[in-house]
Amino acid sequence: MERRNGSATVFFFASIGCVIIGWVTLETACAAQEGVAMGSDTITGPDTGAESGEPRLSSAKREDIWALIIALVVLVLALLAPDAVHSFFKNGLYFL
Amino acid sequence: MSVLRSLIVPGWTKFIPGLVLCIVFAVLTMNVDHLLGRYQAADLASKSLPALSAQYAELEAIGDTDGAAAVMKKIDKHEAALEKVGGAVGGEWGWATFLYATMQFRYVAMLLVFGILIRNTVGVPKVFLPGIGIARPLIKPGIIILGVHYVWSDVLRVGGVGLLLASVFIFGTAITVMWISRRAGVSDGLGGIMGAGTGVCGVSAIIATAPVVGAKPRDMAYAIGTILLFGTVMLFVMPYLGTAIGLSQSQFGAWSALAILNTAQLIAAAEWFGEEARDTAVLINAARIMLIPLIVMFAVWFYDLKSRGKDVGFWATMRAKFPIFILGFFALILLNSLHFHVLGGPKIAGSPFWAMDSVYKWLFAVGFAGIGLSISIDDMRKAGGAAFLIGSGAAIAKMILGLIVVMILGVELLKVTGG
Repeated sequence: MERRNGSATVFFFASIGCVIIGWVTLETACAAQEGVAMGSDTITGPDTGAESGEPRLSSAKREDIWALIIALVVLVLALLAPDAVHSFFKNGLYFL
Repeated sequence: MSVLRSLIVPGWTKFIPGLVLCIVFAVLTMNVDHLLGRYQAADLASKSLPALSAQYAELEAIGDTDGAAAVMKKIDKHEAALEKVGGAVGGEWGWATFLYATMQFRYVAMLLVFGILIRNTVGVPKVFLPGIGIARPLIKPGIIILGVHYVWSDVLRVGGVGLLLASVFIFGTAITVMWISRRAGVSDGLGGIMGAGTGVCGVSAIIATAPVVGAKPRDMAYAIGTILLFGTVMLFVMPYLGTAIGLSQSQFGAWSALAILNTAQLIAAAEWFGEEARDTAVLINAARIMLIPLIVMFAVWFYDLKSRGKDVGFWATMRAKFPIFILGFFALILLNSLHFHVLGGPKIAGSPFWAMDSVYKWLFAVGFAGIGLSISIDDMRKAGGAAFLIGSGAAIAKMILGLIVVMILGVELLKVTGG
């Protein structure tokens, strides 16, 4: 029961976190669409989406958003099945 | 909706072959690292067990049961290490100790060395190149997940010192490089991106500043070539230099975060040196990359771009250039600092944060595979001219000054406790 209450609290905070991160992401994305080119950790330059004729996210912002999504997926999986996640990455991937 | 659509690049399937190649390369290398680690542990066990057995017998003879129990624990650990390789006392695996412990030839070094060798000898077919390019940013989710290693007191202490150091070094380097570039007759575009690149974190800062200072594609190639060449050399030199000088883990982490310009390369160097070094480096780098929007604003002021009709407002630049992934990193530090029972911690077995702690290394490994396979000697030849000399000179000066500062600061102020 205590664990369930704890889970609810965490999901509550995680939801607030998601909303904040989502809001910042969309805000920043909107800024990107206003035409300010941004940086990236990859060597490819900003993706202005010129070929599609529609304003697009820069590669740096896209990388950042994907990084947040991947980390969030890992957090959710770790919340649902911590032992399975740990076992897969600590033992399952090693075959030598 | 268009924002969500923008998350998927048109023709995204072109990334699959290279990404799969990096994953396979990372998995194979991590396995070799694991195997090497097992043989090194067996070599240590083979050499330590006779002395430990004698010590155990001695303690038993004098009736020191606590001491004997502690020694027995070590004996059990070493016997388990021997059992893993099917060996026995007297076995010799000195080659593993030399590679793994003496030379520190671990997964980071393997991925970089073999990646560079593959790229520049047998070559990488063109079909793999786009995917290799997007493997490197997988270091970013790894950095976010690494947030479970910190608590807010670390952020305030190490991050505060890091922010102060980063600010001084970033603006000191940027001002020097931009001023010398102007005196040497280097164009504003090239001087601006070299100043930003050598000041903050390399490629990110160059690409963020390029449109503002009006750098040409050739200028970007020169600047990126210089930054990557310097970073690659430092990546291999600094861990050995740090060991030779006798730097502590946290001092090396701070030094690499100040001296190496590219995020991926500095994390690789710090991870190579050790886990504590990496924890300090990631935290100082987080403080550093938050300064990217400010360096762009500095370039605007330095080159007087407003008078040239460029629309570069402060908040618009902050919103556009801020690396938002770092918010995820700080969100996890916050959750770790609140000590939620249900989330546990990286050392609490069975907890979600303990599970997350097992993931980041794999994301780093795929990212490092991407770095190794993307370092092309031909690309580095693009570095050249006065900008190269100025940029390299400033980067070397920053490295030496950074070393002096971390040696003065000492160990405690830069150490990440993790709560």
